[in-house]
Amino acid sequence: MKNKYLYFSLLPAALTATVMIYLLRTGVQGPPRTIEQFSLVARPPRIRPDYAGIVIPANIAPPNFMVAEDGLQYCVRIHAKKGKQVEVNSRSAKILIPTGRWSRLLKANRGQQLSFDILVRDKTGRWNRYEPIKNTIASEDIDDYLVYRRIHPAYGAWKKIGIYQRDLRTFDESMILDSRYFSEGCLNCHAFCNNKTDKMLIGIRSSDYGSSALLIRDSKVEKIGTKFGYTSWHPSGRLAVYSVNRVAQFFHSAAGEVRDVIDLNSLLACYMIDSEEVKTVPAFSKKDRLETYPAWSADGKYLYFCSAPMTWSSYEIIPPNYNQIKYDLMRISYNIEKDKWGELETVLSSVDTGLSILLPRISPDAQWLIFCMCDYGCFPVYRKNSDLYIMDLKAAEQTRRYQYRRLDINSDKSESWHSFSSNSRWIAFSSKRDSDPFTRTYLAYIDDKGHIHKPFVLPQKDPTHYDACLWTYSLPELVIEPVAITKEKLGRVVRGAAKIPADLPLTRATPQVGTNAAKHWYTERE
Amino acid sequence: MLGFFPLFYSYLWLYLDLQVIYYSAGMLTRIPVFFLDRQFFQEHTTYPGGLGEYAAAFSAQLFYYSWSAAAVVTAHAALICFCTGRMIEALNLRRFYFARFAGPILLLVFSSQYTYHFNATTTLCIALLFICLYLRLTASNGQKKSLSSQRKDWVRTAVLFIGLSVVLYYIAGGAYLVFATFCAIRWMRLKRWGLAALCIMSALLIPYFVGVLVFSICPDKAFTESWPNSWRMDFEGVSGAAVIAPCAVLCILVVVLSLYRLRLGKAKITPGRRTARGNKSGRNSVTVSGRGDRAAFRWAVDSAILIALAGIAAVLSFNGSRRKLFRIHYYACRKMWPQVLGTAGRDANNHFAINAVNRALYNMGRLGDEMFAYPQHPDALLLSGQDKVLKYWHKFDTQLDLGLVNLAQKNLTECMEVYGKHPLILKRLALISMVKGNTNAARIYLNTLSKTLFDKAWARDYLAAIDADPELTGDKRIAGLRSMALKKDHPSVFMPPELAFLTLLQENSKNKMAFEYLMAWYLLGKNAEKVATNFRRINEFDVKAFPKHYQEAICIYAYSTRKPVYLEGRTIDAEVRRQIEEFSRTFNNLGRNKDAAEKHLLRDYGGTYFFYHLYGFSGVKK
Repeated sequence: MKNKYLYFSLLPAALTATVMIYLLRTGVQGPPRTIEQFSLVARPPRIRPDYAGIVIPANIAPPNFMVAEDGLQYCVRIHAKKGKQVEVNSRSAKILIPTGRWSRLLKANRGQQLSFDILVRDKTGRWNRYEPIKNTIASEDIDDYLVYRRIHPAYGAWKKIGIYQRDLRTFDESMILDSRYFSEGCLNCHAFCNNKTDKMLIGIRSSDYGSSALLIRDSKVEKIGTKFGYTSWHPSGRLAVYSVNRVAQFFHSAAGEVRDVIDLNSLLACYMIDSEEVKTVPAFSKKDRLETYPAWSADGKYLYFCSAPMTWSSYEIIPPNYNQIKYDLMRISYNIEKDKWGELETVLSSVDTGLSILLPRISPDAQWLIFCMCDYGCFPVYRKNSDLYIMDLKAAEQTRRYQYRRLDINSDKSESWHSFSSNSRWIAFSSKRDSDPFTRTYLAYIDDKGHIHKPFVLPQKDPTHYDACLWTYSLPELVIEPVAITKEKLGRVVRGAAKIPADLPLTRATPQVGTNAAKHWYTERE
Repeated sequence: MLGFFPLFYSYLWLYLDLQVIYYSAGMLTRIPVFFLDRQFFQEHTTYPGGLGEYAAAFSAQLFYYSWSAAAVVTAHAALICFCTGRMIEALNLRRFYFARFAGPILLLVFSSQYTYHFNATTTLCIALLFICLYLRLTASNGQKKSLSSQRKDWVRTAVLFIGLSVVLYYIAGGAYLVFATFCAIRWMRLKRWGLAALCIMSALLIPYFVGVLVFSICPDKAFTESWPNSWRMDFEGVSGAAVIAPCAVLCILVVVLSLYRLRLGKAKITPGRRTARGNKSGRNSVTVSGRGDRAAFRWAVDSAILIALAGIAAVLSFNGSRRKLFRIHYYACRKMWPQVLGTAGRDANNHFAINAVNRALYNMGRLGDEMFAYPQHPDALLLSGQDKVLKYWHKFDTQLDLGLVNLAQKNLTECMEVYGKHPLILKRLALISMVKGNTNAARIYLNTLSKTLFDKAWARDYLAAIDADPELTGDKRIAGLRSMALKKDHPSVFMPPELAFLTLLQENSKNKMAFEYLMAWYLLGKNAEKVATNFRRINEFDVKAFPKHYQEAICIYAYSTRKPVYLEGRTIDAEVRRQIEEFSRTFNNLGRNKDAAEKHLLRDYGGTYFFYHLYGFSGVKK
């Protein structure tokens, strides 16, 4: 009998707990109401994150936000030409938009305007209606997934480094691989072929398991016995070009950004996927040049990369003229059928720009080349003045002149790590605006004229997420599908002994990589 | 044995002073961080053992005060003791009833070593509570029943077990194995082989199904979530002895008491019986045949043995040197300088302790007079050469106070990566961001801090101050640190201390700390010439005194080189002159034999720079 009473008492407790969990999950919202009388405020409301005047994809999770206006109650009405208005009533300034209704509204109004009417009830009990926030729903969707590296601003100890994927349609974030799956190590660049995840490469550095690269092909994972730096897949998926960098880290005693890095030596190498062979090409593995940041053109006929003169002989000491190193943008033609490389061309010279040109990325439609430029060096994330620039490649092919312009979306902080969506209409990039030294992922729409619209920070379920977020998000890559391989499987392969041997030809200038895993302390960068 | 836990609590609170564990983060074990935040809670609901970790993280915050830290450990100990007692009763092993104190003594041992396994202890407590609940709900299963009701019981018990198992595994992760193992043993003792087999199978299958299939945890991790060796845990610096010693003590405890019981415990012991209220009684239900005074005698002997063993375990496992370091760290973090010196005494050789002592001496205006009255080592002055050693966070305060703001920032951000978002780190990073005028970063750190239990007021005050004045021009502390901070950039892989001090003085000749540390650096390097030549910098400060160690170094320089030293209007004390003459005389009289002279010089001049200059270590006065 006693037990029966126990069960009976457990039942209401469980019900209460369920209700509380539901309320916690959904947020305590005020009752929907019809607001007949209100005063007009002749300005748009302040909201954060700033989701005003943006172009948004129809397949993105709701941009939950905080209304930065004092009030007792808040009412937000989101409406467009077609479909049912979404209304959110809240007693707090935190506006959590229901995902399902938001999604339906956006999908019914592709290419249309989307308005946010915001009403705030002030302390006197009067409702104030602000000027509506007007956004536009793009006709083209963004890729459904975003893959990024999530780290702390310092990560030299290799403690919490993870590659994560975010379903942009929802707020679901899942881990692809975490450094703790291989006794703490470094997870570096992740590279996809044609915005798909069936072919993927991840660079690994581990004190226990050595340096390697994980090659994912379809559902098969293999370990290549060398670490890949910045990597670019040929669109055919038959080869990948990667950089080999001898990185040295140093520190600024008074600058805003403490950390800095330099490539004391670097080159590019090709990994032939089918023959499991590493090749070097004299044109981009020169002894007197530093080559890095490979990027294939959309048709696979050109490899773009960055290159700077190497004016020192020691691979151990930071050269005194470290702040004079500037990279040029180069390209070289390639015939994949004949496996033949053409002549090297200078696309853009740092002498002409006065800045170091880095991180070239080409849109899948072959139209746009976006790159970073900063005052010196090879790592724009650490340079406050790093900005994004765009070049119309198709126009350049016709005029034979490589003209570029600085994008309007730049801030006074570092912009970097940009990537295109598969339809070339969206870019994701890292920026330190409003959050230096923490990088956040921003998304922006590119119209057919190459105009990039106002960027917006990746929406989070909790709109205050970034206010206390001590993570830094780097290398955002847009992909059309999730990475299907489990972290357990990837971890097992990293830990496993089996690997594809991949040594650089000994004739090359650059020292072997993979031997300095124990000296990782000063060789890190985001 | 009712007196055991008050004694236990008093010892932890008044003697061990466990709050130093909270401040020791980075030195021993990772202190779990806790935030009053929905997201923080939700993160803990995404994997088995997460809720247990959440509870552990909360209990870890209670180590902020010594009395509450002791209360947490005592509560854990009492809970373990109570539940273990129930388990022993259920297994009908009342002869081993004393073993219920094994857990509390183990916790005592860990506490005496100034380490605490928050997650493992909390999840173990949860598992033990589930065991008690299961025992309570299946109490009637041991009784003889008809076949049909036995079948019903079997099903009910099995369903109950599976249900509790799933919930427990979700809450406590790997600690579930304790539950399953105990249940298996219990059913085996009751010869309920089917239920025992079910328990054993569940121990294997539930972590797999719930952990691997539902939560996608790696199979080898699914069984160890929340265990001390879990992949999510990071234990820093816990030696093997720290684990072996308490286990050895416990083994001895069990063996000794078992022998004692076997030899003396001839009294008939009956299993617990139902009381009038229908409860399974505990100790009070035991009937001991024989006279009452004999039972009382046994109780007294039991208590005495228990307290003696606990005392022996506490004494044997007490780690005095660690306690000293933790206390130095605690006082240094709180800028309690006299306490730093008092705790360090004259024999703290650890570099981190020396660093704290020097900072205390500087802040008390005694660095130039007394630094060689304490152990010294050149590497301990700035500790910037050991960047990988991110422990003892007070050393970053030294860097910050000196003006090496970026160096402190670099080290602290690395600390955050290694040790998590501990409030002590976040506070310093927020301060650095405010000093650097980076209010965006400061807000992020302060917003995070405002979700903590004990530092939210500090954070909210600063957030309000930033809102009112983003430059924080009215904040004296910020202004003071800004005035000292390096302005000109000097990029380097590693900035040697001398260069750092000289650069600081070059930019701000009024940086008194940089001056005193520069002089200390030269003293430690036995570079009397640099002391003599840099002494002129003292005029930048409103200081009339002539620090004793500077006088000693200048005397050494003047005597050895016969060169004049301009003393900026000051004079060498007669006592110092006398000391160097007598020191030289003693040394010369002993044939300039350093080994032979050491004993004599140590006795009379141990705390002088003369001794350090000759021997390379402080002749500390004990």
